[in-house]
Amino acid sequence: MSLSIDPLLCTLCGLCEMACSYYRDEAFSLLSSSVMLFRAEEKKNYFGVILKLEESLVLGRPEGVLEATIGELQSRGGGGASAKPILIREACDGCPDREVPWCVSFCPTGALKREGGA
Amino acid sequence: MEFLYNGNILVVNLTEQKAEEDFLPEEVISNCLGGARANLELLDRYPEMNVAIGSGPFTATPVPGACLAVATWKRADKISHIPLNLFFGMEFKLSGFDFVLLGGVSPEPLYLWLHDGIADLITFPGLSKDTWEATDSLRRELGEDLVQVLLNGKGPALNLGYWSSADREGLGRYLSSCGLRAVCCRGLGMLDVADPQSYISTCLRLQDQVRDSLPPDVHGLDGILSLYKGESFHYSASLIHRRRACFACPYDCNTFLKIDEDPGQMGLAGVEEPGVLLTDALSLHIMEEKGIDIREGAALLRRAARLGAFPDGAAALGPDAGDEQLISAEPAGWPEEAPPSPFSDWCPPRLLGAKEGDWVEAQAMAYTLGICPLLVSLSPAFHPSTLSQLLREGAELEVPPDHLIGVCKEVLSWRAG
Repeated sequence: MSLSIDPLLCTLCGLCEMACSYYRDEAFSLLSSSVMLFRAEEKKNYFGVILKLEESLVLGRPEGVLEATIGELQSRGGGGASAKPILIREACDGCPDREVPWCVSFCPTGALKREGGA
Repeated sequence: MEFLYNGNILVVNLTEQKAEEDFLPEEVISNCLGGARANLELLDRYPEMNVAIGSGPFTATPVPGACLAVATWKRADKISHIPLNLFFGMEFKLSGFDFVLLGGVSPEPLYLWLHDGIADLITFPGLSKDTWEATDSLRRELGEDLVQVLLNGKGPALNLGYWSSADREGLGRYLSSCGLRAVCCRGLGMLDVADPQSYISTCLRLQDQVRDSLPPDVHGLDGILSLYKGESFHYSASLIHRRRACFACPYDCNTFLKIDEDPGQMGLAGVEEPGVLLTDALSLHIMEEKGIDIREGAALLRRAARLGAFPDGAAALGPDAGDEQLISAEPAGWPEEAPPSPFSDWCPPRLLGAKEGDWVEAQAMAYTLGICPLLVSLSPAFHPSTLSQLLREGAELEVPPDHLIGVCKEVLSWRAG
């Protein structure tokens, strides 16, 4: 895992998703990102960040960070509605051409960090 | 338009229950840029339409605060612009439509569903008790929890799904009277950029500058009111669960208060509807001045959101007011008079913190470019020269800084044609 997530610092601004999609497509959308906000439980104000890795998903949930293989998640119910669309996307490669990945650069609160660095 | 826009307009004739797509003329953007200014131009070109919902050139891109769509309401004697924030503006633009024009009166209640460049006018699903039930019902019908819903309840205001919007004019009730109960959108589209690498680098630099320009340790609506009042304001602190930003915004102004369970409860367990997302600083200011207990005040604002009442009007009435009183409440307005403008009273009526300059000019720029007017009121980092650079890099629009301000300020002098 190249990124660390502190979900309680996330303010749901969506810049990580937009920046990652830009990295994939050189255009602005939310479709191609390897990182995705979970924002379906609005009435409970429950939100967090999901990161797609090669073999697993990292769920940055408010109650803690959970990394699980895709198979494990599916057997537990899929990791929530937002986990499903991310399964078909490319995994995070840590933006190898950049010192700091795009999502980390844009995150305004430090909720996303490069592991072992800023 | 090839860049930063989808290149189309949707013209909705509610009387005929028809939604027809039209090209967005190149010169509308080159002359008017977008947002409120372009809404006015389009309402002039389509005189049978009287409401426009439009995006700015930066909406749904990583420019700080680029969350905004603007609803412009043209009446015989008045023009009003209402900012639509949270995730609505972003999802609206990425649904494939830059501008939606609304006119006529439908004999039956409808909602407009925008997605994947497709627009459907659909019969509104039954009667709902309030905006929360209606939002749930629309999302269920459309099969997506992330659908953004602009809707009207029993009160006069537009809601952004469950939460109060910045409508202080009663546009929600007007649209309902025209038979349009809701606009729903889901943004799965894509916006092209003229010079992607330069644009993203400038966005990132501006994000850093805006973030660094914000006063330290100031967060949420309490933070806005601390700056407004010039003294520490912590009225809602005891109930704060988490704060949320609107799309692309480095400032987390939206403040969720938990009323019915411990604000420290972070997991999904617990009550289904534990609190309310506060989106309006003025209502907090009023309640604190009146000495209203914050828990009672939060419950009052939740009731106002469910009814689609003006939150500041509800705050002025207080927690003992009945639902019918809340529905009839007029907007309270800020204690100090705002400079005359067509903009919503949602934003505090002067610049905050270290920001200097002309409040009306800053609002005009925000409403035209698709940036949150509250953030523009707060951060001194939004220099016209940087915004000009972004227009050039993003959309190949050559707009010198002076001209940029001039175009935005045309919003102020526009009269119905």
